[in-house]
Amino acid sequence: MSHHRPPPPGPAPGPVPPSPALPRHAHERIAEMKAKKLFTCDLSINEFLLVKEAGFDCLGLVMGTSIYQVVPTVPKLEKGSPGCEVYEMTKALYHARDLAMSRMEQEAEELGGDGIIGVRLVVNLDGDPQRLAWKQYRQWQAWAHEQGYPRRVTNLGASWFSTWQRVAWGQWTLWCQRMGWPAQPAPWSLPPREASYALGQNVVEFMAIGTAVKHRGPESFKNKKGKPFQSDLTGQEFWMLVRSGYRPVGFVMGNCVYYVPPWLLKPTTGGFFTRAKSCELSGYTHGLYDARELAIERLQWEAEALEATGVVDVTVTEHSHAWQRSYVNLGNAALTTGEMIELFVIGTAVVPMPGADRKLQARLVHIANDRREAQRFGGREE
Amino acid sequence: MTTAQRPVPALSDLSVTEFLTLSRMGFLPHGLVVGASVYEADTSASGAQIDLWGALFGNAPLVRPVQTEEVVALSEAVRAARMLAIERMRMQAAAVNAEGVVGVRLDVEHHLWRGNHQVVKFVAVGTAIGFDHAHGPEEIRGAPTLRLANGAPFTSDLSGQDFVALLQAGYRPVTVASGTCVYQLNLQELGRYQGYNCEIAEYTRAFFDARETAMARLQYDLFSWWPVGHPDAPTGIVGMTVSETAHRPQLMGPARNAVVAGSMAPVVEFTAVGTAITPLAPGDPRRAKTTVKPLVVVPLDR
Repeated sequence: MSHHRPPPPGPAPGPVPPSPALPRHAHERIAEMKAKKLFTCDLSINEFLLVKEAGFDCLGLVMGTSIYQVVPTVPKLEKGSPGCEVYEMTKALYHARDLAMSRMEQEAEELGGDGIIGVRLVVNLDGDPQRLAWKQYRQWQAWAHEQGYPRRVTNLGASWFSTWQRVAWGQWTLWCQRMGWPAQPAPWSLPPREASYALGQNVVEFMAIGTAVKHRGPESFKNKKGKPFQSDLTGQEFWMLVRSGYRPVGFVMGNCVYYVPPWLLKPTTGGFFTRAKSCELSGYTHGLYDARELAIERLQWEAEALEATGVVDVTVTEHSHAWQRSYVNLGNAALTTGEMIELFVIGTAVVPMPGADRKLQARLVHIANDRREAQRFGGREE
Repeated sequence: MTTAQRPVPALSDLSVTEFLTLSRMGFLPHGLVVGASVYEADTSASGAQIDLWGALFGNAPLVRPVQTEEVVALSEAVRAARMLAIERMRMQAAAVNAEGVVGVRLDVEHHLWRGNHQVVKFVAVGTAIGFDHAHGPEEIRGAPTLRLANGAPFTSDLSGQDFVALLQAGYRPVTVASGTCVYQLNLQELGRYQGYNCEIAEYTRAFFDARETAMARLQYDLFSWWPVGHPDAPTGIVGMTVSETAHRPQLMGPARNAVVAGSMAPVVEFTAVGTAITPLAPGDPRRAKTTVKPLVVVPLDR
């Protein structure tokens, strides 16, 4: 098909070019770590010891970030036509992740690392003011229902964003008067536990963070491009991989933003004398199928470029990012506006190490530890 | 708080596994120790600044608009409050004659008090442990103390198992280390990016720089207390995380709409936390004679 193009990581146009270099403090931190022979890592103790056992040394925590504006562009389709990829958005989301990861890679190179393990790609959507307000709006609604306000009062419909503060504040002051309390902030206006900063609509932060490692031997573990490898493997997984004769060569990823027009989402309604039947929404299925295949195909291309023999730990995730027009009636709104979905696939490309054919022996054990307890105390015992 | 050599009923928040792992290495809990500090986040240091002096005698504008930059006053306040909480916990541990504290949790709570005071409470909680020379295993009875060179107990956010694994691998924890950087963001910047699919370079730089500064400060503080060559000089930091919390200038009532709509600068605090470690004293019998061989196991419990 014609739209099977790989997303190039090329720069997207903007009024300001992407920030090119690492911040000054990053250079300072890395220089100090090298001078004073200090390592930092975000690995647990077990992971830290296993990485050492595998013949690697931790060098330092490395990170990269990119704050990106992704503008929703809903394609204009003829009525009845199938869904399509939104190529501009695919490119933007790919570019954002690529920027974050290449900055992390730059830090690892400056530290002299062979690779980065335990990489986490964090997508921070909390910059959207509407998303923030929506949480508080729901919190207020729950409180109001508890106090006995009927739903027709609390359901503000499509204009909730501009009106809810006034209604909620009125109810809260009334409540305070009734309870004989002095004026005080309402529970939903207290700062939330997690970070929240209204950066602006459609602004998303992409962050990559991991631990740079270096092999103790003379052998270089850098990949074909001469860059440190990246992988999202935990210390345990990394140890197992190295001990069974494989080495990671890099992160590979593929994504695809797909638009499913509303007519594909509508179930067939019955006629006057016939009832609606349960049936497959074949257009929708086909759209999602296509999107997933596109994303995986792009991942495969990246793996081929690294001359990998396989990709492990592939995960497929579906995001619906912050480009929904409004948070009202999120589920049903799709029936009129259509749906915009991002399929994101990521995995670690591996190659066999020459001359290594150690076989890992596994042992069956009964575990006497309480699993819940292990989770509560964060000890990664599994 | 008792100061007996080995208080028998000592509180601890250890799990059974942690307790048994520690007691096998001769460590017993000496009590739950807590340090807290409360401070008021004065957000007036952030936002637009009026510079009367500069306007009259210098070339500066009267009102300096919000800039994307660090709020140094807030950074300093948060750093001092955190250090104080950890230091108080350490003092409590010293009072129960402990060698150190394991399982430290650093909790931050934001409150909005009357009069629109934004108050932040830092709490450090952990279990003080001590080495029992009389009841410890035969071969490690003569082990030297794990206290720091100045006699203060160590602190760490490691669990009991992690602590023992670390000792056997030949390292000891020194302290819970933290670094802070508070940044404010200029929201006017977004206007330039209307309608583009692109990176917002100024914000990226701000967030990147803030996280890096937090981590750099953590290192700087550590080495200013224990410079290279000191017996407690750290060789590494394990379990380091960088987290963020937001102090938004809070307004009461419908005026809050202005905050949500973004006319006030958000203030974001970045915090790096980890445990600094250093090698055990040479000849410490706790170091495992042979390196522990990892085993691949298939658990049968699911």
